[in-house]
Amino acid sequence: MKILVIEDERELSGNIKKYLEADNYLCEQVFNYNDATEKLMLYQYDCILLDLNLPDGDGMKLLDEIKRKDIRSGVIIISARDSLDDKIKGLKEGADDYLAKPFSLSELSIRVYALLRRQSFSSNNILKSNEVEIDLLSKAVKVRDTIIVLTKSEYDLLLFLIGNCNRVVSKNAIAEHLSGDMADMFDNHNFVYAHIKNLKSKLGDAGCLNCIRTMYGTGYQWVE
Amino acid sequence: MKKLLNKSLVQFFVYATIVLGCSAPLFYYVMEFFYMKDLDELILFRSDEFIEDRLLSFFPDGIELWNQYNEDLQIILYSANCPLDKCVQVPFYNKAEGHDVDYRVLYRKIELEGEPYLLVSRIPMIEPKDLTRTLVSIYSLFFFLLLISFTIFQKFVSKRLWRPFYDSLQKIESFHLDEGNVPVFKKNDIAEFTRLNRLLANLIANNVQVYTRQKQFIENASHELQTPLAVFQSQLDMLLQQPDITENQMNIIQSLYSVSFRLTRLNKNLLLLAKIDNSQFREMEEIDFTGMLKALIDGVGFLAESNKITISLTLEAGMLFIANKTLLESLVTNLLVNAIRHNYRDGDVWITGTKDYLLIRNTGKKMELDRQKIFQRFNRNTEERKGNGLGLSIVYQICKFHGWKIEYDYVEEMHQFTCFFHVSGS
Repeated sequence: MKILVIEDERELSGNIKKYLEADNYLCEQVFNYNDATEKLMLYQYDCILLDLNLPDGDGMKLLDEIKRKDIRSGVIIISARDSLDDKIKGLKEGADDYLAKPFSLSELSIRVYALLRRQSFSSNNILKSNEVEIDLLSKAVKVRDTIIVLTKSEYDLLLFLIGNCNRVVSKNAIAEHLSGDMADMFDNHNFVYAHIKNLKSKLGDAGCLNCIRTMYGTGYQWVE
Repeated sequence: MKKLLNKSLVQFFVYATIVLGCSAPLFYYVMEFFYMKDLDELILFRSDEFIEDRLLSFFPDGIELWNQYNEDLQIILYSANCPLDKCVQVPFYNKAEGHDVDYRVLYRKIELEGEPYLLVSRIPMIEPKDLTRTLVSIYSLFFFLLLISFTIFQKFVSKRLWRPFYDSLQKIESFHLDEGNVPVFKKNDIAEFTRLNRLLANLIANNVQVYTRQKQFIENASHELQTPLAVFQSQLDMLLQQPDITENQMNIIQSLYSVSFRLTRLNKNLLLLAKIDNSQFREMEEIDFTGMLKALIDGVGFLAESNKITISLTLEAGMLFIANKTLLESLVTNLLVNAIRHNYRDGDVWITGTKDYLLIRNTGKKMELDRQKIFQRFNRNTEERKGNGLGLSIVYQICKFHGWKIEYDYVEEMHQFTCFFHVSGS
């Protein structure tokens, strides 16, 4: 899977590349509008991460171009503009997802993951990791052929962890992923702990032990 | 405070009274003087006429009869005491008045058959009290006329003269900096007012410009902050991936995450405020408020559960509002989260929604909050760090934006916020 990161902030771009490459994606970076158009002409990508504020051009125009040239890459806009208007405009113009800065890399990773899964029509809708099997359509979770019943939050949490497998996900990232905009309203994210505990015990009851590694209550990792 | 026109009227009357009062004695003496001159001419004329026409055919035995019929032109025996040939003022008994009255008198020496006599020509002067009375009545009439005419003058002329001033005054009164509507002053042909209006217009335009730039600056600054925040957070995410992190290091990372989160939230709220200030939420739509409230309350449900707070809900069915959806959601969420956040374990939150108002009451700290400060930015009632001090000012701004009214009350040891959707006059 090839991803093009169009982002002028080099440190952010570098971190995105490193984080995504841990999941075996191939990332290429460009830092301006011109290089981006060049790359897009020459190569094919499965996913494009597009910053809207580029030093030499508007990301929206680039999105226009991608759609006009019928480039079949999924596009996720990563932008400092976070108003609803901008989101609606971006999605209307043909972007597949919109992520407002600042975002956690885990969140970005799960969005990329979801986008790529939607794009590859051939892929089956069964996700397997360790002894866990998830049917993404029916949202049924099986451990060693035993169906376990999860709440919506627990299911989302499980997907989030597996989507970021082998990487440490912060408590804050989980909180934001689970509660969306409401995350803004919390003073602490301790409720994540309760969800993790419940999920762990449900998986453990079904025989899937030690899948989730807890790091001093701050980070969580799905170990494959 | 007095009105300008009334003040000038009062001052004019004080001035007029003083001037008239001071000039009254002058008037008195001038009138008396000219009256005296007039009488002097007359007595001189009479005595001259008598001497020329009558004296030759007059005999001493006719004196008594003459004197009987000519009270003011008498012939008496010569006396050296009387000043001759000049007009003097001497008191005589006046029969008509019944007492002594000042007379203008002229003594002339005449000879009848060789004997010296005195011809006395006299006319009574006006009495001082009569003159005073006359003057007072004239003055009163004059003063009264002045009063009426000046009031009328003031009413019509001055009012018209000052109209541009009052017009400008009214326009400034209805000017609000945050609404940014620069008043347009009426043209007029008075140099001072034109100058005043020009200066005012400049002053206001400058202020509006500075204010707009300031608002724009806040928005831009918030935007610019998003990128470094994104870098900061991504670095933390990368740091978390390092193998062999110790617990101490992890604690530091967690505290950095909290800081990053707080910064992000603060920045987002500032941006939201700036956007409301800049009226960037123009889209109004019809909103099913009943449905929205239910959904939002569901959304904060687990926050309430984790604090064992009971939410009781009374909702009128089918509430429909024209409002900006994003803002309305933000308003309700802020109030809800406040009610839960500033509560205690096992506390209560009551929510009542009707077409006219939304009322959110909650148990909490048993202390009334400062009504004046509660909606101000970064106002904290306690040293506790709950929220970032922007929630209620966001609520306030959203209400202001929609023309609603938000009120805080402390009733029966409960904090309550009421948002009125139909404010008279809006």
